[in-house]
Amino acid sequence: MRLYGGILVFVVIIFCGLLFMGYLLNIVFHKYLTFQELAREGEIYSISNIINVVERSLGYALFFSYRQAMKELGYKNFSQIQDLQSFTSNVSRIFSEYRKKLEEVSGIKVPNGDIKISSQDNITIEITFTSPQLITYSYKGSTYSFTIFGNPNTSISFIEENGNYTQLKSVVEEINKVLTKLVS
Amino acid sequence: MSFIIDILIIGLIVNIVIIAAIVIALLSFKYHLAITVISEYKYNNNQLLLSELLFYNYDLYKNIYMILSERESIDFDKFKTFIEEKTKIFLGDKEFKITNETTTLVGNESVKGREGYVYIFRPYEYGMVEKIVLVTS
Repeated sequence: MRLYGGILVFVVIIFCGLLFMGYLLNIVFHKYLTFQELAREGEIYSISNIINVVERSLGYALFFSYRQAMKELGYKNFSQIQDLQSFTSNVSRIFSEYRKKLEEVSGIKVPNGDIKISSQDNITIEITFTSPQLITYSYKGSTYSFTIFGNPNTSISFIEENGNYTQLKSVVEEINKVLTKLVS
Repeated sequence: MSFIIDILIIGLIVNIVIIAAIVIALLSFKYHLAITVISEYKYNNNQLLLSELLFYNYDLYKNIYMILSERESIDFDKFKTFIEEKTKIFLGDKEFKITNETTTLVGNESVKGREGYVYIFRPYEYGMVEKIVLVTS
């Protein structure tokens, strides 16, 4: 009986010890795994939202680039532009600064591409940006890494009258749309 | 013989204890994980709300994105009420503010809590890109 009494005390001590160890392990694993999983999910979800806003607003960056080029070259309206090719190069240069700035502050890379500016009546102006590559955001951590893609193809149209701009309409082109939001 | 039976009983009891400890730990683990996931998704809703709010139209030229983007060139105070009204559609009576991390643009400056952010393009002379944050209580 004494032997069983001793064993019982021993087992109770082991039980309490294992329970406490299980509790500690639970805390350690729970914190580590939960943090890792949520960090990954949260980061992907968050960047996907941000890229979505960039896709929808890239046309505004084109518009601001156009307006800055007009200001730098001293034009007041589209009809004053004599060399459209040279003017487009200026818009491309300024748009590249926007792309670099975005990458600098957010890590989102908008690819290089072609800009076309056109107007049928010198009042309604349309600017399009096309690129065979995709917007990308890459994350590389010690435990996981991922890349999210977005669609850079966009166009914006607006009416320019006496230096005022109205009826801005930004459209995310549907080309390559199927490739957006791919997570690898 | 008796000694062997004793060893077997002890082994059985120890095994039951170990399994019980592991099961208790795993049950506790699952419970905590579910609570934390719910909390994280609540946090991200602010960003989703902000990304939809920005493209709410004021008129043919301006949406909230362009109002915030070109706020120095327009009578921004005139549009603050509009932005507040539209934000309240999503948030109800919840207190909020929209900031650029240094200045409160719209809403109650003293609000602290959950944050969601996006980047917006700005006119060239105002730094080109800006982080806009929606904070809700």
